[in-house]
Amino acid sequence: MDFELRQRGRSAIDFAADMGAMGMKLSAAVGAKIADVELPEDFDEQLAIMEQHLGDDPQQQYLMAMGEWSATTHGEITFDAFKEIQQELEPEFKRLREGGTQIETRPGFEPPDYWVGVDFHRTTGGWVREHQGFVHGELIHPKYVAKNFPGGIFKQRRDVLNELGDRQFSNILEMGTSSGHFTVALAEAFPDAKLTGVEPGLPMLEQAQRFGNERGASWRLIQACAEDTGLPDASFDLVTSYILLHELPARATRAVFAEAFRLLEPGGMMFMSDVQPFRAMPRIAQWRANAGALRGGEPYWREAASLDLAALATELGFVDARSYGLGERQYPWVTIARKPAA
Amino acid sequence: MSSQSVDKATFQVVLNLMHELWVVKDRAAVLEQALAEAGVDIADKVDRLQPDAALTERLDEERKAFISRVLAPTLDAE
Repeated sequence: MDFELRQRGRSAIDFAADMGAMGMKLSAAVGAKIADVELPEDFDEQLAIMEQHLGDDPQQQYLMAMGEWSATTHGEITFDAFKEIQQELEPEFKRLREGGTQIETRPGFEPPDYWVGVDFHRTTGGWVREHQGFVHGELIHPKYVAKNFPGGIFKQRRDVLNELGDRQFSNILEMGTSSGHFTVALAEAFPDAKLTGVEPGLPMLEQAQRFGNERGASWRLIQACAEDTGLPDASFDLVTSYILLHELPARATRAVFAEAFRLLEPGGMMFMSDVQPFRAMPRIAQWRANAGALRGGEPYWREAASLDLAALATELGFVDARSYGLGERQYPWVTIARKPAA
Repeated sequence: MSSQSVDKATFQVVLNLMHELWVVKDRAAVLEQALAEAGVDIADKVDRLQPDAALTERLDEERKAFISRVLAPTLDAE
C-alpha cells in the first residue's frame, strides 16, 4: 500500500530500529564474557547460573534496560505513526475491502483460552487490537524488524518454499495467516493455487485482505484457529504455516498437526516453518533464546521449542517426517511431512 | 547502591529523552530542507515532506552516530 509517514512517525520508527542495532553491539560485549560458561541441561538452572554471572554486570543491566525500552515502546511508537496518517488511509482501507479476497467470520467464534489477553511481543492489545494488522504488516515488519533481521525477513518467507522442491500445489491452507506476508510468498511461488488462510485475529486478517486485493488475488480468509478450522476433510494438498507454532502451547500444536492431517488429501504435504528447537542449540544459545522469550512476550516459546515436531507428526500418522534448520543460522526450522496415500 | 549499579528507571528515562531528542534533531534537519524550498506552509510541509535519498542517508548516518555517542558509557561500563 502506498502511504507516506509524517516526520515524527518516520523519525521515531527509524530511531527505535537503530536502537536495536545498538543493543546488538552491547549483546556482543556481554556475550564475550560468558562464552566459556558451562551450563546444565535444565533451563531454570541455566537462568539461575547466568544470573550469578551477569546479575551485577553493568553492561548486562544496560542491555536488559535497553531491551525493556524497545519491547515496551516499539508498539506504541508505530501506532502513533499510524495515527498521524490514519484519516488519509481510511479511503484506501475501504477500497481494499473490495475484491476477490474476502474475510469470513463465523457466528459464535471464540478464540482459545491460551490466546485471549496475551500481548504477544508485548505489543499492547496483542493481535486483536484494532488496526494491529496495518501497524504490524506495514510498519513493524518492514520498517522496524526488517532493518535488523539477519537474512531478510521477507526473503526468508520466499526462500523457505524452495524446500518443497518442484512439486506444485493446487489447494493450499495457510495456518496463522497474520497480516499476510507469508501468504504473499505462497501466492508468488504457487500462482495457480487456490489459497485459504485461517487466523483468529480479525485486525490481522484485514491487513492480509489488503495485500490480497492489492494484488488482485482471490484468497479465502477465515477467522478461525488452526486447530479448529471447520473446513472439510481432505480438502487441501498443502497445509503450511510460517512462524505460528512458537505462539502455541504444546497441546495446541498437537491439535494443529492433527487438524492438518484431517484436512490433507492422501499424499498431501504439511510444511511448517518456525523457531529452532532447543535440542539443536548449544546451551548458551538455549539460555539466550529462553531468556529472550521470557522478556519478549513469548509465553509459549519454551514448550514450543522443546517439541520434536517430526516425531509428533509421525505419531499422528504422517510419513516421511523430517525437521531441519536452514542456512548457517539454522533458521527458520522447517518440518515437512506427508499424509500417506490412500 | 554501589557506584557501578544501574538505576533501571533512570535509564528508561534517559532512553525516553534520547528518543524525544532524536525526533527533534531529525525534525530540524528536515526543516532546513523545507525552508530551502521556501514552501508557504512550513509546518505542514515538514510534516509531510519525505526526505530525499541524500537526506535519508545523512539522517541514517547521524542517527547511528548519535545513538552510539550518547550510549557509549554503556559499552564502556565495567
